[in-house]
Amino acid sequence: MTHPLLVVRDLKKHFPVRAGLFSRVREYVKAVDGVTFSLEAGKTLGLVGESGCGKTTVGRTILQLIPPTSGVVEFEGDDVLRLDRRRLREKRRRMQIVFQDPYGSLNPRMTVQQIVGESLQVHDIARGRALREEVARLLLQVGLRPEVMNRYPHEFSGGQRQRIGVARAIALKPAFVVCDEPTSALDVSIRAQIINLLQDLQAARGLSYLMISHDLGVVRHIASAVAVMYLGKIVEQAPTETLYGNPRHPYTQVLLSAIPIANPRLRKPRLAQATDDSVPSPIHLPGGCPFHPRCPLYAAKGKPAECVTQMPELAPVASQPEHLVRCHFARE
Amino acid sequence: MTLPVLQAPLENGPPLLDVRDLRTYFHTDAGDAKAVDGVSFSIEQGKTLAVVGESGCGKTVTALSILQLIPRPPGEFISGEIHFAGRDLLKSSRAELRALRGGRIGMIFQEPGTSLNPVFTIGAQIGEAIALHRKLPRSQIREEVLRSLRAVEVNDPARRIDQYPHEMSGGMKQRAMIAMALSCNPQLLIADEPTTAVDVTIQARILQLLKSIQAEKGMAILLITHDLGVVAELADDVAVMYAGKIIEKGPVQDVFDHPRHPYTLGLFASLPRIDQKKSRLESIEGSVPAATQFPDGCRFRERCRWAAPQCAAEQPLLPFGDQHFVACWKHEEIARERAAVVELKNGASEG
Repeated sequence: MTHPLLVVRDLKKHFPVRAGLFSRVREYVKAVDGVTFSLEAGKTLGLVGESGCGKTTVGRTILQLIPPTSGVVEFEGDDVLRLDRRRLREKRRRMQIVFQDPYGSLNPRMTVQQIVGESLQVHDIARGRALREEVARLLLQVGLRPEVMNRYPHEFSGGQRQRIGVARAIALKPAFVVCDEPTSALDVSIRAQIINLLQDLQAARGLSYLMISHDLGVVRHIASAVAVMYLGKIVEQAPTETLYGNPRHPYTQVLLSAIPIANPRLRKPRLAQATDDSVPSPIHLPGGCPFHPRCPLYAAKGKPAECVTQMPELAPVASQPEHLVRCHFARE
Repeated sequence: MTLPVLQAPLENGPPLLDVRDLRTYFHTDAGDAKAVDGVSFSIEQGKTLAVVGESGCGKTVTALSILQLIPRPPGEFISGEIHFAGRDLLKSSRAELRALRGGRIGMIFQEPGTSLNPVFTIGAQIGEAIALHRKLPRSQIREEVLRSLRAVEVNDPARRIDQYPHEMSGGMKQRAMIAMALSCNPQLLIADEPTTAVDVTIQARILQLLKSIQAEKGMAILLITHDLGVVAELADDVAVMYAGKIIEKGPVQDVFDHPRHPYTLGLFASLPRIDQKKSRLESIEGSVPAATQFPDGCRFRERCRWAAPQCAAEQPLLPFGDQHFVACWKHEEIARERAAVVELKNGASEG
């Protein structure tokens, strides 16, 4: 078996909450609380969940844009969290990110050439004419005309700006790109353009993506495997078709059945529903399984004690080693 | 002047809301932005019409025009009639409009966070609407507010009523907005992207809530959205807008089964779905032109792969079949071509 490109083990990020006199740390927000997964070269892992589940923090801690509290991030065989500054900088060439907001993530005072070419300059890869030629090549690859390189971000539409963001991300020929909600700010017709672009680049360059999104349609389309997060933990993980075809965790079921399908014939009574709409605070997590206060299965099983006292393991469903579920009862 | 009698129209009477040839322009330094340019539609009592389209297509301006919540200047109503329960809102006085807003016509906005006033409690804000429109004694208002919170399934309304917006989650705030909009039993609810700012599980609850309240009270809903899933879930009829115009409209099942306009076709083809796997999404090339620079004739023609010289001439929204309308010179030709492609594919997969 080949070694995976990226291995994340028991990744944690706890943000301190300061309060009171002398701003003492009283509590922690457990934004990411023990996340483990791996990603093969050329594949896409979808990371889905609702606002505040910690999916964005996972992406940023992997890239060390925010330092994790603990855990292991192995990328191309090296533990990224234990590299010295120089080696980390080298490593960063291989891991890049595309941000959600194509308006906020491009510096309005830089031209397209400066934005896309900045990393090439920083890493001393190209200068002068060679730099301009490389930027032109990159712009062509993301479907923009090279003539636009002297323009500023405000002169572009949202979709075009996201293309610029993609060109910047692939400039250093990375092996791995975190795509953090890359299409959420875009209209439907433009969204398809960007998804197709990401897929084309993946096919041409063998890129791996961590696709962070709340849009389960987009993730189904682009990902080879999917992990569902709830309150800082992965609650279910499986190959894409398995997850969408046979979701096991009650939260995944609730999430999937909540999505309105663009076909009036499929207007349906919701199969699975949360018993309560309010997501608990990530500071005061409920004991045991964090989903139990909203869980339809917990209610249906007559509120078993282990759901309240014991955190279930993320363990495989019988006879399906690739389908992991964090639930005391959903693996049967 | 005598006011027209305000009463519910009889069965098969005139529609509750009838908008004809509405044109709302904005005068800007870059020229006139024709945000809404000749839009006509109607809604029957108890029905839901969804206006769907991408950013900048004019759907929100259409909704705001009905209650005349457009700042003038720079906005101007160039033409049109908006008949609501028998009177033309564009000819109504300020006082009449004020009585309608939040009274017989309720409105829910996209951002529950910014449309609630942060310095008043939820109870005070809902109570204000009730006091204004229903002339109840003070003692009864609190009771009414509690009733309206219960109607939108707010847990523990006796506690929530005295909370400020920042103490509530996004979903709870949107429920409070809905409670406010419904507190005066409107005949028409205008919902502008009511679920765009909330998570999917909350969205499902809110859509369900709107459906059940509609079934109970029989109000009409004008739903503004960009989400075709939400349209499929809630609407009876759908109007697709592009660049200030309705380019296709009809019963929701008809339009979803047999979209005819190239733009509608493109929207459906570009949608990633959770109920099916597509190998590749079809995208619509290019982007929507700026509202000050709409082309003559069909405004979609620069992005349309079926565009022909005749498309330089304005195409009216014409019916085909019973209630399905489309604004495209070539829709019949396109439909034939698509049918032929499907046949070819089926033939190939059988052979």
